[in-house]
Amino acid sequence: MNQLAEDYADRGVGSIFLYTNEAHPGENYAHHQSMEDKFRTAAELRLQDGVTRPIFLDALTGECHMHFGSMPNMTWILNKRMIPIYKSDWTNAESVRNALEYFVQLPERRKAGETLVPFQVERLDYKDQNQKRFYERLARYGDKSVTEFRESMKAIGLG
Amino acid sequence: MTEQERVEAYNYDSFIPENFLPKMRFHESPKLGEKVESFPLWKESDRGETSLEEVVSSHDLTVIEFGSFT
Repeated sequence: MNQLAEDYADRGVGSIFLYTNEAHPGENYAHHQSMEDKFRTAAELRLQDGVTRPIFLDALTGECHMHFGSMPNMTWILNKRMIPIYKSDWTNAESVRNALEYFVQLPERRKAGETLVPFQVERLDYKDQNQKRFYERLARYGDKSVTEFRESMKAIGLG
Repeated sequence: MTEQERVEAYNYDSFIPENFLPKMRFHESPKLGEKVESFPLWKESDRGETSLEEVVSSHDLTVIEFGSFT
């Protein structure tokens, strides 16, 4: 997603990371009890995961995150009038790139004389589900994160 | 629900279904094509307060990835 942000930065596209609650709190990175906690883990995201996009924190009560559906790692694209034109319940750079490539050429088509009007589309995109890498990440947060994820997936029939 | 209770409910301490499943309501999220409301946000780099609208209005399009370190 960092590369995507760089690739489209000169085409009128801004990219941000909106920091939410901790999805998998563990012994090493616990749930937030204060904005100080939230700033601390947001800094870890920037330092350890190398996020180069501007990071913005939601309120401690998560109003913005909950308004947009509360998924742990979703992506939205908004135009400058605050109108969502893309939403995905999971972040996938290939899917976002595909959408951006379509959206950024619309102004040129309008300039060329096309009368463009929006319509609704739904579709399924597909991502590589690398469970080994995911569990390696979880282990960084603590054994509690690994155990809870494994047990929760079993409990909801996905394990 | 008090402010403290809202903080505790949102920032659950264990990833167990009763904590995370009720919050996942993507199917009830704003519709495409309809203006969304703004919310206060805080920039990680300098802790300054801004708003979603202020951030979004500075570019033709804005990609917003929601997430956390964990």
